[in-house]
Amino acid sequence: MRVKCRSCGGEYEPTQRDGLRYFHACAPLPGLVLVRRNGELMAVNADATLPDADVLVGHAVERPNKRDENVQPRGARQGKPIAEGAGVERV
Amino acid sequence: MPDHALGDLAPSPATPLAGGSALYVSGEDVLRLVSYNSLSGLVLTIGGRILLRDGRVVAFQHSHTPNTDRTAKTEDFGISDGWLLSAQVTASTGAPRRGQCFVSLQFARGQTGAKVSLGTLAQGYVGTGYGIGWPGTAITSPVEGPGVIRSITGTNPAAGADIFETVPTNARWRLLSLVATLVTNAVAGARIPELILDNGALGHWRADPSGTQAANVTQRYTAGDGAGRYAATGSNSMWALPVDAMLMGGFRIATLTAALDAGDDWSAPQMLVEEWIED
Repeated sequence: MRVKCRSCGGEYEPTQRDGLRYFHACAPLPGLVLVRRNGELMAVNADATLPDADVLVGHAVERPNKRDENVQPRGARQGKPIAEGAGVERV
Repeated sequence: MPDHALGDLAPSPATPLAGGSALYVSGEDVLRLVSYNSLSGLVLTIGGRILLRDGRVVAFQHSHTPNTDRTAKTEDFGISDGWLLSAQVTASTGAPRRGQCFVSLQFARGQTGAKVSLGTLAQGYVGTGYGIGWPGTAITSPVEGPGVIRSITGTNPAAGADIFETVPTNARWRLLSLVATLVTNAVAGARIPELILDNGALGHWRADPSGTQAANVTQRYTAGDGAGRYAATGSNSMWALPVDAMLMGGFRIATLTAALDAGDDWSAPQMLVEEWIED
């Protein structure tokens, strides 16, 4: 069974050929990195040359409504996905 | 002097030694099984023998169905008053490989409410044809020894998106190799796909490819454990990977492609990894 993520459009098999589950997580927004500029977090073009004063915080900017099927390891939400996002549909 | 059956012995402070077993279990004790598993359709059987106070040796057997997302599942089994002679955990349904199902067999005190774990009898991976048992099996860590080798097909990103894979919760991966193909559209510009390994936020490995990719080109990118970056030949390019690229749960494997156009298309990455359970 193949599914398509409604948050990012990625397609995948929820169960791999070896019988193990696959946990999809949406890719970040393309072409952006996260920097701290003048004390503020900002998403900037990844291709741009950053000023020396910028501090690179992360090489990715998460997309809104990201789906992350990786599970919480323990606690009240053990086994539940980190984020449902917009759900999936069968392909 | 005639032999005496064990049943003829009246219970006394000395009888805990009569069974030859160091583990006397009272009616307040339970056998506790904690499993961490990634394989679907697996059922474990916990079985063993107890020497009862009346001298009879009885066998017991219970089933346990682990979770399939590597999170812990704990189940307690009541046992009779007596001396535990042996206990083992094996796979009764499914064919697990080393690295997929890790179990800890313990005994705990308490029948209801909060129970206190008092000791670990055996701990290790359960596989096809072998399990863990007490006495005999050592108490091992889940990251000792070889893991399971897996070939994983990742997500096929939508057009205009980079590759993005996450090490699952409670897994440890050693990335052995990765291959993916980028098809560029007619929009001019040199694409430069970088391979990034990160801890969920910041990268600790960033590798440029052995060449840029122009418009209207299909290029395959390969990375291998300890392999260097050889010059691009034909439609093949290389990324370097560190030796023993160990990644914890939540770490990520991604591409960051400079000048990636909205109409460019990455394939699903095919990854070869060695995987262990790690809580």
